[in-house]
Amino acid sequence: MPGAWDKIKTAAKEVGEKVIGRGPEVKYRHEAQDYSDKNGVSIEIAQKTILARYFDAVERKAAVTRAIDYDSSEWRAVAAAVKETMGDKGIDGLKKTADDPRYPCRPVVLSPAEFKRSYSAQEGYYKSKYEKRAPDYAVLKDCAENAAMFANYSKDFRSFVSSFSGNAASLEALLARNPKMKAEFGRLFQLKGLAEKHEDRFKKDMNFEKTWNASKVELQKSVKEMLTGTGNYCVNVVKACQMMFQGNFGAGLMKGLGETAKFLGIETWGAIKVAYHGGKVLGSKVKNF
Amino acid sequence: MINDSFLVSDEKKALLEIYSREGASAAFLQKFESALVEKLRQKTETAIGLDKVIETEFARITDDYNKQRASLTEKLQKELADVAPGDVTAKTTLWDAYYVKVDELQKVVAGGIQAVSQKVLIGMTK
Repeated sequence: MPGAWDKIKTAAKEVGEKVIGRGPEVKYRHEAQDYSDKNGVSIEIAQKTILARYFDAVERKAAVTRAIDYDSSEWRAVAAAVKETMGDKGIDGLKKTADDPRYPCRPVVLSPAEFKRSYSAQEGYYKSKYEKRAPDYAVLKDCAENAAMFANYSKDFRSFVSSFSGNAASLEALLARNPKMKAEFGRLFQLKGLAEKHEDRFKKDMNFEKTWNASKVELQKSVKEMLTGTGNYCVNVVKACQMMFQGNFGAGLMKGLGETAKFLGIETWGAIKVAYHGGKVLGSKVKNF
Repeated sequence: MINDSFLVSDEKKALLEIYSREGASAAFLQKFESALVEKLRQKTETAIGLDKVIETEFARITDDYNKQRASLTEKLQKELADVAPGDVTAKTTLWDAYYVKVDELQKVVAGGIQAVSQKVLIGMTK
């Protein structure tokens, strides 16, 4: 039994882990330990049982979204379980096995109807997150295929873990004896990585487009301001001259400003005219522009 | 008012000379107004021209970008078709290369936009 000082040290360590973003790892550790204590089973059995539960949650979420969610807390929990039981390089090891040609991927063939459903799901996923916008066909097609593979492998892996949940072997030992399943597990991480890549890129593209459009608007605004400044100056001159000389100065100038108005648009021109005519002439002429 | 105006120095000088000779005569006012109208007309033309430059150049850049990106995507799709189903690593490698090319393309576009901006800003000072 750990002493009081050990408990304090562990608690302090776990707070630190949470701070650096390893909260899910701490949660998994506690859940596995609690399960082990309450059910009187080994920690290895408890770890696999909790992992199977995490996969249930992943499946439930996938059944709703039918997409690989970028911010999936359910998948983050699975990753935490791997890191906790297989170390920080555990995920890399799984991915490496996925690349081993001896364990090729089991292809997931989609019927045209299934593909259509998956494609729409990806489109819906993006549109619900990004101002009703989605990537182009090539990306959505890839996402649709990846999501289908992810759902299949995830289901397989969940069955695998469940079927061995009563086995005393650790997850790592089990996977070492079943490299095909290890490869499939690794492929799940690869698919999640590719989905994140697509989404990061889409966000980048949207920002790029926004900057692009903003540059255009900003340039046009600068040109408009240059002209508005000139027009306003003229109006001020006209007003000052009229006050000083009470003459008819400015009639020609207003004609000149008419051209300006065509470029600036009615609103700005309206403002100039109000300044000049004191609100008297804002009728049919304005509408003609 | 003459000194503060957007007229060029020669025009200001000529108007000030008339004013010192004739005072605020009708002829002076007419000349001052004509100068302002002419300058305003020139500025308007410049602005309309610059607005056209912005529209045309942005449309051209957009068109080029879309065409080049479509071509890159088409090439990628052909390459993806040759990848074994489920070979996620091979697919990821192709997508990585594609996204690097898209980055390069966007850098070219950013350069193009910068050039248009410079052109417009220089045009505004004329």
